[in-house]
Amino acid sequence: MTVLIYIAVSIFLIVFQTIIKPGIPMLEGCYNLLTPFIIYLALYRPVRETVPTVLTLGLVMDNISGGPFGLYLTTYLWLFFLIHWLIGFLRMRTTLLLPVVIVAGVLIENTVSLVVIALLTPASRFPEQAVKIVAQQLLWAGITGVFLLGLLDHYWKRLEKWYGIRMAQKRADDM
Amino acid sequence: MVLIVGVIVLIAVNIIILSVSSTHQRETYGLGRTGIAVVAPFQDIFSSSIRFAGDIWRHYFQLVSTAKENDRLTRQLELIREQNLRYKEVELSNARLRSLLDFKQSMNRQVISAEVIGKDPSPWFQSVIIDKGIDDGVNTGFPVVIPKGIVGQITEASGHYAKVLLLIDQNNAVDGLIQQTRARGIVKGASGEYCIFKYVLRKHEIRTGDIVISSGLDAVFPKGLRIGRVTGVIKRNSGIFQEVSVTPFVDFEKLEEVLVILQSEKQKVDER
Repeated sequence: MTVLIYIAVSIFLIVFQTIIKPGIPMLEGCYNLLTPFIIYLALYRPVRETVPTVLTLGLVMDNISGGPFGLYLTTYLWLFFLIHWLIGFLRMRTTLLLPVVIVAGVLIENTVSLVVIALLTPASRFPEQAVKIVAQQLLWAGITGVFLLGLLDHYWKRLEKWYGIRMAQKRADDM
Repeated sequence: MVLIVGVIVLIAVNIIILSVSSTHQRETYGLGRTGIAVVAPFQDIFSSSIRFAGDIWRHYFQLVSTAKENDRLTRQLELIREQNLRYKEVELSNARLRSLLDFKQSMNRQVISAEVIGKDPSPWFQSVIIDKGIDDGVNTGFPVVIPKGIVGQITEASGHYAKVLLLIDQNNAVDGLIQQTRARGIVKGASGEYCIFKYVLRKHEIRTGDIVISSGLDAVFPKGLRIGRVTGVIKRNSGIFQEVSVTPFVDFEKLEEVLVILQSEKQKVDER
Protein backbone atom coordinates (compact mmCIF):
# COMPACT_ATOMS: atom_id res chain seq x y z
CA MET A 1 0.00 0.00 0.00
CA THR A 2 2.74 2.45 0.99
CA VAL A 3 4.51 1.71 -2.28
CA LEU A 4 1.30 2.46 -4.18
CA ILE A 5 0.92 5.79 -2.40
CA TYR A 6 4.53 6.70 -3.23
CA ILE A 7 3.98 5.80 -6.89
CA ALA A 8 0.64 7.62 -7.15
CA VAL A 9 1.90 10.82 -5.52
CA SER A 10 5.10 10.79 -7.59
CA ILE A 11 3.26 10.29 -10.88
CA PHE A 12 0.70 12.95 -10.03
CA LEU A 13 3.39 15.50 -9.15
CA ILE A 14 5.46 14.75 -12.28
CA VAL A 15 2.41 14.98 -14.56
CA PHE A 16 1.31 18.19 -12.87
CA GLN A 17 4.80 19.60 -13.17
CA THR A 18 5.28 18.79 -16.87
CA ILE A 19 1.79 19.01 -18.36
CA ILE A 20 -0.62 20.95 -16.19
CA LYS A 21 1.69 23.62 -14.72
CA PRO A 22 3.08 24.88 -18.07
CA GLY A 23 -0.50 25.42 -19.23
CA ILE A 24 -1.39 27.70 -16.31
CA PRO A 25 0.27 31.10 -16.79
CA MET A 26 -0.35 31.99 -13.15
CA LEU A 27 1.95 29.17 -12.03
CA GLU A 28 4.77 30.21 -14.34
CA GLY A 29 7.06 31.26 -11.50
CA CYS A 30 6.13 28.36 -9.23
CA TYR A 31 8.85 26.07 -7.86
CA ASN A 32 9.38 22.38 -8.56
CA LEU A 33 6.54 20.68 -6.69
CA LEU A 34 8.66 17.61 -6.07
CA THR A 35 10.83 19.65 -3.70
CA PRO A 36 8.18 19.83 -0.92
CA PHE A 37 7.53 16.14 -1.52
CA ILE A 38 11.20 15.32 -0.95
CA ILE A 39 11.17 17.54 2.14
CA TYR A 40 8.04 15.79 3.37
CA LEU A 41 9.74 12.42 2.94
CA ALA A 42 12.83 13.67 4.78
CA LEU A 43 10.75 15.06 7.63
CA TYR A 44 8.04 12.51 8.20
CA ARG A 45 8.87 9.17 6.58
CA PRO A 46 11.41 6.48 7.54
CA VAL A 47 14.72 6.58 5.64
CA ARG A 48 14.58 2.96 4.38
CA GLU A 49 11.25 3.75 2.70
CA THR A 50 12.17 7.07 1.22
CA VAL A 51 15.69 6.65 -0.17
CA PRO A 52 14.52 4.37 -3.04
CA THR A 53 11.73 6.87 -3.81
CA VAL A 54 14.14 9.80 -3.86
CA LEU A 55 16.51 7.85 -6.14
CA THR A 56 13.69 6.85 -8.50
CA LEU A 57 12.28 10.39 -8.62
CA GLY A 58 15.74 11.79 -9.37
CA LEU A 59 16.26 9.30 -12.21
CA VAL A 60 12.84 9.93 -13.73
CA MET A 61 13.25 13.69 -13.60
CA ASP A 62 16.72 13.41 -15.13
CA ASN A 63 15.20 11.43 -17.98
CA ILE A 64 12.48 13.93 -18.80
CA SER A 65 14.53 17.07 -18.29
CA GLY A 66 16.91 18.66 -20.78
CA GLY A 67 19.59 19.13 -18.10
CA PRO A 68 22.70 17.00 -17.68
CA PHE A 69 21.94 13.47 -16.49
CA GLY A 70 22.30 13.13 -12.73
CA LEU A 71 21.40 16.70 -11.90
CA TYR A 72 18.06 15.92 -10.29
CA LEU A 73 19.43 12.78 -8.68
CA THR A 74 22.20 14.82 -7.06
CA THR A 75 19.85 17.64 -6.08
CA TYR A 76 17.22 15.41 -4.51
CA LEU A 77 19.73 13.29 -2.59
CA TRP A 78 21.49 16.37 -1.25
CA LEU A 79 18.18 17.97 -0.37
CA PHE A 80 16.90 14.85 1.34
CA PHE A 81 19.98 14.23 3.46
CA LEU A 82 20.50 17.92 4.29
CA ILE A 83 16.94 18.35 5.53
CA HIS A 84 17.10 15.03 7.37
CA TRP A 85 20.35 16.02 9.03
CA LEU A 86 19.19 19.57 9.78
CA ILE A 87 16.05 18.41 11.53
CA GLY A 88 18.02 15.82 13.49
CA PHE A 89 20.61 18.44 14.38
CA LEU A 90 18.10 21.02 15.51
CA ARG A 91 15.99 18.32 17.18
CA MET A 92 12.81 20.14 16.29
CA ARG A 93 10.00 19.63 13.87
CA THR A 94 8.01 22.72 14.69
CA THR A 95 5.55 24.13 12.17
CA LEU A 96 7.18 27.55 12.51
CA LEU A 97 10.35 26.18 10.99
CA LEU A 98 8.61 24.57 8.00
CA PRO A 99 8.42 27.64 5.69
CA VAL A 100 12.13 28.21 6.26
CA VAL A 101 12.90 24.57 5.49
CA ILE A 102 10.88 24.68 2.24
CA VAL A 103 12.40 27.98 1.11
CA ALA A 104 15.84 26.56 1.91
CA GLY A 105 14.97 23.42 -0.09
CA VAL A 106 13.95 25.42 -3.16
CA LEU A 107 17.08 27.55 -2.81
CA ILE A 108 19.29 24.43 -2.58
CA GLU A 109 17.67 22.97 -5.70
CA ASN A 110 18.16 26.13 -7.76
CA THR A 111 21.71 26.63 -6.49
CA VAL A 112 22.69 23.09 -7.49
CA SER A 113 21.15 23.60 -10.97
CA LEU A 114 22.95 26.89 -11.52
CA VAL A 115 26.27 25.56 -10.24
CA VAL A 116 25.97 22.52 -12.53
CA ILE A 117 25.17 24.76 -15.53
CA ALA A 118 28.17 26.93 -14.74
CA LEU A 119 30.51 23.94 -14.25
CA LEU A 120 29.41 21.72 -17.13
CA THR A 121 28.83 24.40 -19.75
CA PRO A 122 31.46 27.05 -19.00
CA ALA A 123 30.77 28.86 -22.26
CA SER A 124 27.17 29.40 -21.29
CA ARG A 125 25.91 32.70 -20.05
CA PHE A 126 24.50 33.17 -16.58
CA PRO A 127 20.76 33.12 -17.26
CA GLU A 128 19.62 36.74 -17.27
CA GLN A 129 16.33 35.93 -15.64
CA ALA A 130 17.99 33.81 -12.91
CA VAL A 131 17.52 36.24 -10.04
CA LYS A 132 13.90 36.87 -10.97
CA ILE A 133 13.15 33.14 -11.40
CA VAL A 134 14.76 32.21 -8.07
CA ALA A 135 13.06 35.10 -6.23
CA GLN A 136 9.66 34.10 -7.63
CA GLN A 137 10.19 30.48 -6.66
CA LEU A 138 11.24 31.41 -3.11
CA LEU A 139 8.17 33.60 -2.74
CA TRP A 140 5.90 30.82 -3.97
CA ALA A 141 7.64 28.35 -1.66
CA GLY A 142 7.28 30.67 1.34
CA ILE A 143 3.58 31.17 0.73
CA THR A 144 2.39 27.76 -0.43
CA GLY A 145 5.04 25.32 0.82
CA VAL A 146 3.61 24.73 4.28
CA PHE A 147 0.13 24.34 2.86
CA LEU A 148 1.39 21.70 0.41
CA LEU A 149 3.23 19.85 3.15
CA GLY A 150 0.10 19.92 5.32
CA LEU A 151 -1.99 18.63 2.43
CA LEU A 152 0.45 15.79 1.77
CA ASP A 153 0.60 14.85 5.45
CA HIS A 154 -3.18 14.98 5.84
CA TYR A 155 -4.01 12.83 2.81
CA TRP A 156 -1.17 10.40 3.42
CA LYS A 157 -2.43 9.75 6.95
CA ARG A 158 -6.02 9.41 5.74
CA LEU A 159 -5.03 6.92 3.07
CA GLU A 160 -3.03 4.88 5.57
CA LYS A 161 -5.91 4.97 8.05
CA TRP A 162 -8.40 3.93 5.37
CA TYR A 163 -6.15 1.09 4.32
CA GLY A 164 -5.67 -0.01 7.96
CA ILE A 165 -9.42 -0.12 8.52
CA ARG A 166 -9.96 -2.08 5.30
CA MET A 167 -7.30 -4.59 6.24
CA ALA A 168 -8.76 -5.00 9.73
CA GLN A 169 -12.21 -5.60 8.21
CA LYS A 170 -10.80 -8.13 5.79
CA ARG A 171 -9.04 -9.97 8.61
CA ALA A 172 -12.28 -9.98 10.64
CA ASP A 173 -14.22 -11.32 7.63
CA ASP A 174 -11.66 -14.07 7.08
CA MET A 175 -11.95 -15.17 10.71
CA MET B 1 -113.85 42.00 -9.94
CA VAL B 2 -112.46 45.30 -8.73
CA LEU B 3 -109.34 43.42 -7.48
CA ILE B 4 -108.74 41.83 -10.86
CA VAL B 5 -109.11 45.15 -12.64
CA GLY B 6 -106.76 46.76 -10.08
CA VAL B 7 -104.09 44.06 -10.65
CA ILE B 8 -104.37 44.43 -14.44
CA VAL B 9 -104.04 48.21 -14.15
CA LEU B 10 -100.99 47.82 -11.86
CA ILE B 11 -99.35 45.42 -14.30
CA ALA B 12 -100.04 47.76 -17.18
CA VAL B 13 -98.68 50.78 -15.29
CA ASN B 14 -95.61 48.77 -14.31
CA ILE B 15 -94.96 47.73 -17.86
CA ILE B 16 -95.35 51.30 -19.08
CA ILE B 17 -92.98 52.64 -16.40
CA LEU B 18 -90.40 49.94 -17.19
CA SER B 19 -90.58 50.58 -20.90
CA VAL B 20 -90.31 54.33 -20.37
CA SER B 21 -87.33 53.97 -17.93
CA SER B 22 -85.54 51.58 -20.24
CA THR B 23 -85.76 53.96 -23.17
CA HIS B 24 -84.80 57.09 -21.15
CA GLN B 25 -81.67 56.39 -18.98
CA ARG B 26 -81.39 58.87 -16.13
CA GLU B 27 -78.78 59.56 -13.47
CA THR B 28 -79.37 57.86 -10.15
CA TYR B 29 -79.98 60.03 -7.18
CA GLY B 30 -80.35 59.45 -3.50
CA LEU B 31 -80.42 55.84 -2.33
CA GLY B 32 -79.05 54.35 -5.54
CA ARG B 33 -76.03 56.62 -5.36
CA THR B 34 -75.46 55.88 -1.68
CA GLY B 35 -75.76 52.18 -2.33
CA ILE B 36 -73.08 52.33 -4.95
CA ALA B 37 -70.83 54.36 -2.67
CA VAL B 38 -71.20 51.84 0.12
CA VAL B 39 -70.98 48.62 -1.85
CA ALA B 40 -68.46 49.53 -4.51
CA PRO B 41 -65.39 49.76 -2.22
CA PHE B 42 -66.12 46.25 -0.91
CA GLN B 43 -66.62 45.03 -4.41
CA ASP B 44 -63.41 46.70 -5.37
CA ILE B 45 -61.51 45.14 -2.47
CA PHE B 46 -62.92 41.68 -3.12
CA SER B 47 -62.49 41.78 -6.85
CA SER B 48 -58.92 43.12 -6.44
CA SER B 49 -58.16 40.40 -3.91
CA ILE B 50 -59.57 37.73 -6.16
CA ARG B 51 -57.65 39.14 -9.13
CA PHE B 52 -54.48 39.33 -7.00
CA ALA B 53 -54.88 35.74 -5.84
CA GLY B 54 -55.60 34.68 -9.40
CA ASP B 55 -52.53 36.52 -10.63
CA ILE B 56 -50.34 34.94 -7.95
CA TRP B 57 -51.66 31.51 -8.80
CA ARG B 58 -51.23 32.05 -12.53
CA HIS B 59 -47.77 33.64 -12.09
CA TYR B 60 -46.62 30.91 -9.76
CA PHE B 61 -47.28 28.30 -12.38
CA GLN B 62 -45.85 30.57 -15.01
CA LEU B 63 -42.71 31.09 -12.85
CA VAL B 64 -42.32 27.39 -12.25
CA SER B 65 -42.52 26.68 -15.95
CA THR B 66 -40.23 29.68 -16.69
CA ALA B 67 -37.68 28.45 -14.14
CA LYS B 68 -37.80 25.00 -15.69
CA GLU B 69 -37.41 26.46 -19.15
CA ASN B 70 -34.59 28.68 -17.88
CA ASP B 71 -32.78 25.65 -16.47
CA ARG B 72 -33.24 23.78 -19.72
CA LEU B 73 -32.02 26.74 -21.81
CA THR B 74 -29.03 27.33 -19.51
CA ARG B 75 -28.05 23.68 -19.87
CA GLN B 76 -28.51 23.91 -23.62
CA LEU B 77 -26.42 27.08 -23.75
CA GLU B 78 -23.64 25.43 -21.74
CA LEU B 79 -23.71 22.48 -24.07
CA ILE B 80 -23.57 24.71 -27.13
CA ARG B 81 -20.76 26.77 -25.61
CA GLU B 82 -18.79 23.60 -24.93
CA GLN B 83 -19.51 22.37 -28.44
CA ASN B 84 -18.48 25.72 -29.88
CA LEU B 85 -15.24 25.62 -27.93
CA ARG B 86 -14.57 22.12 -29.20
CA TYR B 87 -15.27 23.17 -32.79
CA LYS B 88 -12.99 26.17 -32.39
CA GLU B 89 -10.25 23.91 -31.03
CA VAL B 90 -10.77 21.48 -33.92
CA GLU B 91 -10.65 24.38 -36.38
CA LEU B 92 -7.41 25.68 -34.89
CA SER B 93 -5.92 22.21 -34.79
CA ASN B 94 -7.02 21.69 -38.39
CA ALA B 95 -5.29 24.91 -39.47
CA ARG B 96 -2.10 23.92 -37.63
CA LEU B 97 -2.10 20.43 -39.09
CA ARG B 98 -2.87 21.76 -42.59
CA SER B 99 0.12 24.09 -42.42
CA LEU B 100 2.21 21.19 -41.06
CA LEU B 101 1.02 19.01 -43.94
CA ASP B 102 1.80 21.70 -46.53
CA PHE B 103 5.25 22.05 -45.03
CA LYS B 104 5.68 18.26 -44.95
CA GLN B 105 4.80 18.04 -48.65
CA SER B 106 7.16 20.88 -49.51
CA MET B 107 10.09 19.01 -47.94
CA ASN B 108 11.87 16.46 -50.03
CA ARG B 109 12.66 14.33 -47.00
CA GLN B 110 10.86 11.73 -44.99
CA VAL B 111 9.27 13.31 -41.97
CA ILE B 112 6.97 12.19 -39.20
CA SER B 113 4.59 14.38 -37.24
CA ALA B 114 4.55 14.19 -33.47
CA GLU B 115 2.64 15.78 -30.65
CA VAL B 116 4.24 17.54 -27.70
CA ILE B 117 3.11 15.71 -24.56
CA GLY B 118 5.24 17.25 -21.84
CA LYS B 119 7.53 20.14 -21.06
CA ASP B 120 10.75 20.41 -19.11
CA PRO B 121 10.11 20.53 -15.37
CA SER B 122 13.06 22.86 -14.83
CA PRO B 123 13.13 26.56 -15.71
CA TRP B 124 16.87 26.27 -16.40
CA PHE B 125 16.62 23.82 -19.30
CA GLN B 126 14.46 23.90 -22.39
CA SER B 127 13.20 20.59 -23.69
CA VAL B 128 9.94 18.85 -24.57
CA ILE B 129 8.78 15.25 -24.77
CA ILE B 130 7.10 14.09 -28.00
CA ASP B 131 4.93 11.04 -28.63
CA LYS B 132 7.14 9.40 -31.27
CA GLY B 133 10.17 7.25 -30.54
CA ILE B 134 12.52 4.59 -31.86
CA ASP B 135 9.60 2.35 -32.91
CA ASP B 136 8.39 5.16 -35.19
CA GLY B 137 11.82 5.62 -36.72
CA VAL B 138 12.86 8.55 -34.54
CA ASN B 139 16.41 8.51 -33.22
CA THR B 140 18.94 10.65 -31.38
CA GLY B 141 20.26 13.57 -33.40
CA PHE B 142 17.24 13.92 -35.68
CA PRO B 143 16.18 17.50 -36.41
CA VAL B 144 12.77 18.72 -35.29
CA VAL B 145 11.00 21.50 -37.18
CA ILE B 146 7.66 23.22 -37.75
CA PRO B 147 6.62 25.42 -40.71
CA LYS B 148 7.74 28.54 -38.82
CA GLY B 149 11.28 27.25 -38.31
CA ILE B 150 13.69 25.03 -36.39
CA VAL B 151 12.46 23.65 -33.07
CA GLY B 152 15.46 21.63 -31.88
CA GLN B 153 16.92 18.17 -32.05
CA ILE B 154 16.26 14.77 -30.52
CA THR B 155 18.60 14.10 -27.62
CA GLU B 156 17.07 10.91 -26.29
CA ALA B 157 14.62 8.41 -27.69
CA SER B 158 12.79 5.47 -26.17
CA GLY B 159 10.27 3.07 -27.73
CA HIS B 160 7.40 5.48 -28.31
CA TYR B 161 8.68 8.76 -26.92
CA ALA B 162 11.60 11.10 -27.45
CA LYS B 163 13.12 14.15 -25.80
CA VAL B 164 13.69 17.23 -27.94
CA LEU B 165 16.29 19.75 -26.83
CA LEU B 166 14.88 23.10 -27.92
CA LEU B 167 16.80 25.64 -29.94
CA ILE B 168 16.69 28.09 -27.02
CA ASP B 169 18.45 25.70 -24.61
CA GLN B 170 22.01 26.69 -23.70
CA ASN B 171 23.29 23.28 -24.80
CA ASN B 172 21.85 23.54 -28.30
CA ALA B 173 23.55 25.06 -31.33
CA VAL B 174 22.79 25.28 -35.04
CA ASP B 175 25.16 26.33 -37.79
CA GLY B 176 23.45 29.29 -39.41
CA LEU B 177 23.86 32.11 -41.88
CA ILE B 178 22.28 35.46 -42.56
CA GLN B 179 20.00 35.02 -45.57
CA GLN B 180 20.82 38.40 -47.14
CA THR B 181 24.58 38.68 -46.55
CA ARG B 182 25.43 34.95 -46.19
CA ALA B 183 27.47 35.75 -43.05
CA ARG B 184 28.06 32.54 -41.14
CA GLY B 185 27.96 31.80 -37.42
CA ILE B 186 26.60 29.50 -34.74
CA VAL B 187 23.12 30.09 -33.36
CA LYS B 188 23.21 29.12 -29.69
CA GLY B 189 20.46 29.04 -27.12
CA ALA B 190 20.65 31.63 -24.37
CA SER B 191 18.33 30.00 -21.88
CA GLY B 192 15.71 32.63 -22.48
CA GLU B 193 13.38 33.36 -25.36
CA TYR B 194 16.17 34.38 -27.70
CA CYS B 195 19.41 32.95 -29.12
CA ILE B 196 22.89 34.30 -29.69
CA PHE B 197 24.41 34.25 -33.15
CA LYS B 198 28.03 33.60 -32.25
CA TYR B 199 31.31 33.77 -34.13
CA VAL B 200 30.08 36.20 -36.80
CA LEU B 201 33.03 38.18 -38.14
CA ARG B 202 33.03 41.93 -37.58
CA LYS B 203 33.49 42.61 -41.26
CA HIS B 204 29.95 41.42 -42.07
CA GLU B 205 27.26 44.04 -42.15
CA ILE B 206 24.33 42.72 -40.15
CA ARG B 207 21.18 44.69 -39.57
CA THR B 208 18.24 44.28 -37.20
CA GLY B 209 15.49 42.40 -39.00
CA ASP B 210 17.82 40.20 -41.07
CA ILE B 211 16.69 36.59 -41.31
CA VAL B 212 18.90 33.76 -40.04
CA ILE B 213 18.62 30.35 -41.73
CA SER B 214 20.40 27.03 -41.22
CA SER B 215 23.55 26.53 -43.28
CA GLY B 216 23.38 22.74 -43.35
CA LEU B 217 27.03 22.55 -42.29
CA ASP B 218 26.37 21.14 -38.83
CA ALA B 219 25.36 17.78 -40.31
CA VAL B 220 22.10 17.89 -38.41
CA PHE B 221 19.75 20.44 -39.96
CA PRO B 222 19.10 20.67 -43.70
CA LYS B 223 20.17 23.90 -45.38
CA GLY B 224 17.70 26.77 -45.66
CA LEU B 225 15.45 26.16 -42.66
CA ARG B 226 14.32 29.35 -40.99
CA ILE B 227 15.77 29.99 -37.52
CA GLY B 228 14.90 33.54 -36.50
CA ARG B 229 15.23 37.25 -36.99
CA VAL B 230 18.14 39.45 -35.85
CA THR B 231 16.96 41.66 -33.01
CA GLY B 232 20.22 43.20 -31.84
CA VAL B 233 23.78 43.76 -33.05
CA ILE B 234 26.68 44.87 -30.87
CA LYS B 235 30.02 45.65 -32.51
CA ARG B 236 32.67 46.26 -29.87
CA ASN B 237 35.82 48.28 -30.52
CA SER B 238 37.99 45.21 -30.01
CA GLY B 239 37.63 41.55 -30.97
CA ILE B 240 37.12 39.83 -34.26
CA PHE B 241 33.49 38.86 -33.76
CA GLN B 242 30.31 40.82 -33.26
CA GLU B 243 27.51 40.00 -30.83
CA VAL B 244 24.21 39.27 -32.53
CA SER B 245 21.00 38.31 -30.79
CA VAL B 246 18.35 36.38 -32.68
CA THR B 247 14.69 35.91 -31.80
CA PRO B 248 13.48 32.52 -33.07
CA PHE B 249 10.46 32.38 -35.35
CA VAL B 250 9.08 29.50 -33.33
CA ASP B 251 7.00 30.33 -30.27
CA PHE B 252 8.27 27.64 -27.91
CA GLU B 253 5.56 28.36 -25.35
CA LYS B 254 2.85 27.38 -27.82
CA LEU B 255 4.47 24.32 -29.32
CA GLU B 256 1.88 21.57 -29.89
CA GLU B 257 2.73 19.59 -33.03
CA VAL B 258 6.14 19.17 -34.60
CA LEU B 259 7.77 17.36 -37.51
CA VAL B 260 10.76 15.12 -37.02
CA ILE B 261 13.00 14.80 -40.08
CA LEU B 262 13.76 11.11 -40.19
CA GLN B 263 17.31 11.50 -41.38
CA SER B 264 19.96 13.89 -40.20
CA GLU B 265 22.33 15.51 -42.71
CA LYS B 266 25.14 13.31 -41.36
CA GLN B 267 23.22 10.12 -42.10
CA LYS B 268 22.39 11.39 -45.57
CA VAL B 269 26.06 12.05 -46.25
CA ASP B 270 27.02 8.65 -44.78
CA GLU B 271 24.52 6.93 -47.08
CA ARG B 272 26.05 8.58 -50.13
